[in-house]
Amino acid sequence: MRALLWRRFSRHRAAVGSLVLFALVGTLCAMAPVIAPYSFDGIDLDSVKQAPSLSHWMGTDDLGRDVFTRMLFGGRVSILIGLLAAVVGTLLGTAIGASAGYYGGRLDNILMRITDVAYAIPTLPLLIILSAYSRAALVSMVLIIGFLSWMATARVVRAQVLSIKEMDYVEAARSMGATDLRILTRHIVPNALGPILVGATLGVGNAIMIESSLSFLGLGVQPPTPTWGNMLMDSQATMVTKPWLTVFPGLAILLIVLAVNFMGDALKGALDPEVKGG
Amino acid sequence: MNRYFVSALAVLAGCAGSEAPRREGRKILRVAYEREIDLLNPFTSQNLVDISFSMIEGLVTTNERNEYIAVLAKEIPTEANGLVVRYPDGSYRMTWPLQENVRWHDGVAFTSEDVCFTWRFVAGPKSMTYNREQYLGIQTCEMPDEHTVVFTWDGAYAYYAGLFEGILPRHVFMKPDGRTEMTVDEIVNYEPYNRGQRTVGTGPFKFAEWKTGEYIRVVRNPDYWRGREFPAIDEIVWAFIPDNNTRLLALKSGRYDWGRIQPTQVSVVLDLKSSDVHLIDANSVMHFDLAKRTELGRRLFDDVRVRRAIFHAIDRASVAGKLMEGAVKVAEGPINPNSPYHNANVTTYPYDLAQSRRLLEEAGWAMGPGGVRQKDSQRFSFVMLNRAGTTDRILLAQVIQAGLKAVGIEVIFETLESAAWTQRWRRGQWEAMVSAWFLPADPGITGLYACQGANNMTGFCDPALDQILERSDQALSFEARMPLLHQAQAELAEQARMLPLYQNVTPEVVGKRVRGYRGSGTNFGSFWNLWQWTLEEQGG
Amino acid sequence: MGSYVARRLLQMGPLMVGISMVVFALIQAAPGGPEAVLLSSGRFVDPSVVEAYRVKLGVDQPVPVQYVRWAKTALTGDLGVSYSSARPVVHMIAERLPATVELMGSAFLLASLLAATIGFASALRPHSWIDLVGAGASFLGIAMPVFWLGLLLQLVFAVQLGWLPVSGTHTVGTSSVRDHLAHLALPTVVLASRYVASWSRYFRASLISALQSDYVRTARAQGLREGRVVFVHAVRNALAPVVSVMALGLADLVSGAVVTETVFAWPGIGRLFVQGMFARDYPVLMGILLMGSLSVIAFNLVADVVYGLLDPRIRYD
Repeated sequence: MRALLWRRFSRHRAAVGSLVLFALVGTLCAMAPVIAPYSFDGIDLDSVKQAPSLSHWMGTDDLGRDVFTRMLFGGRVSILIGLLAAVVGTLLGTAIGASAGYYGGRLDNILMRITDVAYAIPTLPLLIILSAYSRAALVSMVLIIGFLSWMATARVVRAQVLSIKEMDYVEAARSMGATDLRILTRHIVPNALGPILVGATLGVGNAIMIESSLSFLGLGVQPPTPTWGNMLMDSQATMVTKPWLTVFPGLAILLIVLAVNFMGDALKGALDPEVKGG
Repeated sequence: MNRYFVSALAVLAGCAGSEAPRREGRKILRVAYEREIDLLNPFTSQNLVDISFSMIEGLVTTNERNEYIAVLAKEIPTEANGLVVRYPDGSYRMTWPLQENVRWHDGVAFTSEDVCFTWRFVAGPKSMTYNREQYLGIQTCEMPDEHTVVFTWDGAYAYYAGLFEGILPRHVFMKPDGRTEMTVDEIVNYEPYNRGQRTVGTGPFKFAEWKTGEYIRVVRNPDYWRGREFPAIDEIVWAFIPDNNTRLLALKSGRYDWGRIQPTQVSVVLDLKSSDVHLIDANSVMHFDLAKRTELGRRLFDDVRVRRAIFHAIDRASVAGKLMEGAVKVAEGPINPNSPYHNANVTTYPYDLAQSRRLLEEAGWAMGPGGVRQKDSQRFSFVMLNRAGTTDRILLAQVIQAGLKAVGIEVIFETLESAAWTQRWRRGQWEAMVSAWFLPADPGITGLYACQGANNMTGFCDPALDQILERSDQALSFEARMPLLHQAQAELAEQARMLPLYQNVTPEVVGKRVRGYRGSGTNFGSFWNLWQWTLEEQGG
Repeated sequence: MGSYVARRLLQMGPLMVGISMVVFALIQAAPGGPEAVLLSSGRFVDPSVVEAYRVKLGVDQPVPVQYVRWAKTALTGDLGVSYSSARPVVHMIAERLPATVELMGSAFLLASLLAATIGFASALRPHSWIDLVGAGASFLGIAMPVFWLGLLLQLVFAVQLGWLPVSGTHTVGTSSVRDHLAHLALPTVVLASRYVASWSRYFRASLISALQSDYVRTARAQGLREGRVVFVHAVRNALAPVVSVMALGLADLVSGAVVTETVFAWPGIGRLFVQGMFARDYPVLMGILLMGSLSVIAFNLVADVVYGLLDPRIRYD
């Protein structure tokens, strides 16, 4: 079974490339303490704002810290938050969207109105409140970002489920006495996997970006600890004068988002026997 | 053909027959303004009031040398010119002679009535003017004639010459019956004045248009009291461009004549063909504040040796030279070096880690586990309160954090959104922060450093210093006040109450065709002499 | 369907009351108060003025009392007066709304066109180079922060080439439509780029499943022409999930365009909201949020109705 999955996955060439890239970046970041040439908080006011060179591959920031080193350390936090928060958001959104779509009626109405309210409630004041009462920690940030981003998935999944549940094979399963839970997990959700995976993979990039705006409100990871998001936000002011400070974290986020997305795509193809990717 | 026309043609490249954005022959000053302002009443606006001051004048304003100069007053009363008289009961009479032949934009004559009306408004309990308390020493406002105002003060207040930077037109604030004045609350909420329809002043420009969120346009006042030849500019457009990067690019694109930028952006505009950059020393010092209103703060910072040790661990020369790219200068005190009240001979704290460590040892803080000093099982660790979004201050905080780490002091950050930060700051629930004030030209610093000072949230208190400050506030002449303020500055530095990091500068990008500009770093801003500005026609 | 819509409309009343209570409590719970504005310009401020300000605005009262007072006037259509500009909130919103609606509308059009093209082309040829390029291009849009993309475009098109203006809605002193469109171009592209990625990915995913579903296979087996199969059956079925995502994007009038509005100095509602939040200008915030919630609920209702129409198998009861 596993071999079969891999064979299907590996047919998607961009996904294989993405996997390699992702693994490479992940390993580099995980090994940051070992391979980083400098320390991530080593301020050196004698070498501030240097453009990329041989001694500093990605240049130095406003405080003379090595950008390459900070990229490695920053990636650890950003990738972790991105993946975990996307999982939390997707699970929550799928559970709510699938139940609403499947059971319909009153439950659907209640769940969807909750979704409306959750969407209508502005996140800015919410984040300001949270920033005053909670200390920035990985778990709380993953949960906060996850809880901020399930609504779109919920609505999309519900829309998909509404049409799937009328399909013949669902009717067939029901008439054979399958429980609702079984129908949901075995028949409905697997067939709604496309939009779910799209939501999840988009969620990764989204979460990395939300983390950066959190740090802008003081809720994110506190300096001097770097994340790709806060490196990007902090260099906003010098974007025109010192472009390398924005370019590297920006590119890193872009590559990771692309890679995750291609992998999600291939995974979907591999899990869904009916799909034959070209 | 002028630059704007050229760039506008580029915009409309390929669109034949479109109209030119600049009406023929009009001299238009285009300002890329850094804030979107709230309202035009200079007393109730929470923004700096550059825009209001193009239309509204006061008795005084400030020039580029941090001096108060007369505008609607003929001269500023002093004891020397005999216009300030002390009475035996300790009260003072100050006589302000007013300019004659001044008319409001709607043609009504400006008189002493307007000045007394303005005083009644500002001193009213609901005016919400930021410095209302300074007006409370005025007991009466008399009008011996249309062009003379006499204030009776209940004592000596050195800042008297900095008040009344704007005068309100009394006739605009009358109730419909035409005889009774509006209440203070009604004036505060009077939309026609706040929004422009009836924002009449006596200044060189008249209100023309306000597009919310976009721009304010003012046009030449043809009946300006200084003479028909003033002002030389026909129109000013204040475009609101709050984003720092966008404003920089807007200035680079050559479509604006004036704009403020960040000190670290200076290098990008140095090569502009159409504009120059002026580095204006602002009345503002970026400084590192310690506080001891909390239990922890008292335990850590009570000993002056500890405070000095902390200051010696911070490399201010590199901050100014490298981080700020040499655009700013290291400061040694709270008063602007441009001000005649500045004292340059005070104790300084050069970067010296060995000295810092020695002082800490002396004070009994021995190195403990994890590289953090300890004394009586108290670790030397404290939280620095950062304000979210102030990128430059958070960078400074990190320099301080690294410097203190080197001498065995741990600094942890807590970052709060602006309003939440303000609340914590006012309640004194903090131990350290990087902060800056924007001071008027008046050099009074009592509010910041006296024990009961309105803006002293640090918990530091020295009765001896209080006495000096109090006397400096009552000294009406420069000769009397200067030595007292010099003494206060020396005392503050000696006590290591706060560490001045650098003198803030405001880089102002000014078009080469602008003449007459004389930038000022006070809270009244650089537009104080707009009536003298001209725009030179350039070929092209 | 008619009764379904009627019921949803009826629910809007209680829903709005609930939202207004939650939101009121929320913005009041954020630490700090409107007095922070007094201190924001860095001037000395007398503490007595700060206290008097709180009393004058009534923010020293308990939150429920403040809510009731606000709700009473709000029911008469009066949303109160802004703390910081002393103007009626209704006027302020009315001035800002058109700019945001125009920007969102033009971005929505552009994004739909691009998303439809990319999604369609990549679904027909999944994993081909067209798909790769489409995905790459659309991901640039979400993975590139808005301020970055905006400044890059300003740098190229306004500063270097001089073709388009940096910011604003028109050149002061002109009223030509072309000048206005030139100002609209860059912010539209930037805002649209945010939506293209997600819309095109959802469209591609659901179009691929629709093309492989039983009814499309049946249609093909019955000998229907490929073009007709794709356009009529597959696209129609694939649109449902996309429509709900699009509705969410459109409904996000309040915060959807904040950064774009800031970068391009566009006088929209998003900037007003963020300024209001930092100033704790409660009447302005409540006004904007009520309007925002109403648009969320309304657009979601429209989306639900639209899928009912797109997919006849879905029945609402």
